[in-house]
Amino acid sequence: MIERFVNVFWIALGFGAAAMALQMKLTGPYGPDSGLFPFIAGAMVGLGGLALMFARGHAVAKIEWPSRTGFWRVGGVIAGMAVLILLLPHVGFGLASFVTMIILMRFVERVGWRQSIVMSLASVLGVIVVFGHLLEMQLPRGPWGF
Amino acid sequence: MDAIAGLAQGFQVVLQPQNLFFCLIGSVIGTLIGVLPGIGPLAALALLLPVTFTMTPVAGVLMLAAIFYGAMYGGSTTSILLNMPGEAASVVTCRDGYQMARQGRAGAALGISAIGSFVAGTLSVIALTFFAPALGGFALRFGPPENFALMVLGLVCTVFMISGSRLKGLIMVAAGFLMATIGIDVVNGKERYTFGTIDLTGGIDILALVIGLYGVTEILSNVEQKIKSTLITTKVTKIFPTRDDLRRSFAPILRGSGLGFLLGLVPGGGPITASFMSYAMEQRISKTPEAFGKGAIEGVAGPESANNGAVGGSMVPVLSLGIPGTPVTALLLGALVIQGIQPGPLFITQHSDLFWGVVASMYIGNVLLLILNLPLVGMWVQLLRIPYSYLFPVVLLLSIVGTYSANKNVFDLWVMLGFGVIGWFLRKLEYDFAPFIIAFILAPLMEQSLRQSLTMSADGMMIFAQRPIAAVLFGICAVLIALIFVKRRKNELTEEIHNAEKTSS
Repeated sequence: MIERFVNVFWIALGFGAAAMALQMKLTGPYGPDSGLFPFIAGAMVGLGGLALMFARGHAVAKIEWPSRTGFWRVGGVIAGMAVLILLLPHVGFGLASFVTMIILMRFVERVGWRQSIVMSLASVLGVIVVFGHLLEMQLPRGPWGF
Repeated sequence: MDAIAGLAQGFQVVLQPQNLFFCLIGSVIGTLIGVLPGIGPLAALALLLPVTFTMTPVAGVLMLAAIFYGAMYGGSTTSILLNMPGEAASVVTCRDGYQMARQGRAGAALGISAIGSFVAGTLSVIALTFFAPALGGFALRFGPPENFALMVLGLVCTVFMISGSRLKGLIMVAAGFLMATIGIDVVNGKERYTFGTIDLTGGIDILALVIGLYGVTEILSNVEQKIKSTLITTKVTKIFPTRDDLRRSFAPILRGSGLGFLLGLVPGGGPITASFMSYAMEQRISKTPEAFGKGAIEGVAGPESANNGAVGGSMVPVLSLGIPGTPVTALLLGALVIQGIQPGPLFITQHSDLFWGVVASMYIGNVLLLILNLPLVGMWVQLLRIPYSYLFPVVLLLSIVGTYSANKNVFDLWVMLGFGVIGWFLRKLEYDFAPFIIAFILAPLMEQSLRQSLTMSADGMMIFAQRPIAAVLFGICAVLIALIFVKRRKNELTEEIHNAEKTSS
């Protein structure tokens, strides 16, 4: 069922992209135009989706989904990362990543509070020192300057 | 310039203290990446790519290359001591390596693995030294139609070599092309698939894509269940194999080196396929095949040599033709492009210091890695005691830093997360990301070659039939594509390679 849904997605994406590419024009006065390559790519995706829909032997026999706890853990990591990205521009890398790491370690990995705080602090400081200072890479800064 | 003179120039370049330092750093990081499960060489390369922006091209590329081959060395440590591969090319080492460790011979397994890796790594670099310039010289006669045909052949080979559904692989290639066309068309400034968003005008950032697909996806797959692993030993002794071990391993190491190099040359081949093929070959020709899986040293020596041999082989097409055969070499190609260097047939002559510097660094890197992996193996073993629950949040932070630092744009972080989630989902459905990444990186070059070919042609697409080399290359493509649609007889070996590719990046 899920595979069929994905196949329909490929068909819609591919032929949709190909239709949009037609509007960009396939050829111009000096030869190929902007739409040619995306048209070929889109048509390939769409035709591939169609082939998957009708050809046998390409679907996964048994999809290995995680257990309920596993889903929660995966969801926790995705939510943690989303919160981190949302917070980054407002509070800076240091605070946003410290908070996210504590949440991930405490609630996803079930590490004790003290270990979570110590590990989070050490990791964030380590990343800021190595990447922010030694390698001079720019990290988002908050109102506190880190 | 002949190969010997070129190599001498390369050693002059790489022996400069700064370059030597980055070669050492790359080797250390590569070993670390190989040792620690949960982060593969590709994700590591992507995470560290922004660091190379401030370096000279030689220093940056040789460090990235050292991470690649260093990971092949380190991967065996985890396989032997934890029965958990540090990276996908070491999956097969678990079988006999772990059994050897259980029999109290962990030192011998680690030792023969390092020696085999060193021999294969060195032999494959010798082959690279002479083969790449010859191939590059031949490719100098290529024009846009031949370049286009060659890139198509590279991608078709990649799809042909994947162990899962080739049709899904073909879709991934097309999706990679499509994704690469997002942004402004550099030829005439037209916007493509930007939907009026400023964030998309620059296109999808390669780092966000790779870190998402190989870093975040890996984290999500690993956190599905709590990883519990038991170190078989924390003290490794007797790392130098006995005379009998060396005698038994000699031929498998040489065979693995040759097989690895040859499979590395083929787009889509690479270290994973090489290690499994080597294991199957050793078992087949062994007088005691029943000993395999029970601690046969040949089952460690062959595959570990093969995956290192494949590294040298996979560098040949990317350095001499600009055609990457694996996602890692595709990223190396991307690193060169970011540095303003266009890989291809002219690369060796136009950037001889860079080409020969990288080749020479691989000789030195192999020696450094032998030192890092034999006498210092105890240090890496201690790292295996770090639980994954401590590791993954750090990897996650590095993913954020790596993605953000390229463009200083929060939008790229959303792209990374989006691709991470999509990748996790598609991995469940057994889609292979390698064709997607390679197609994404090759797409701009392919589009340029296609446009140039059609512009110079009076008969449209017929130019590909009129030029003999392009016609032959397309003929091979046609045969391979036809074979893609022929139902493949699944055997145990392809199933195993498929599982290895599926479970680890």
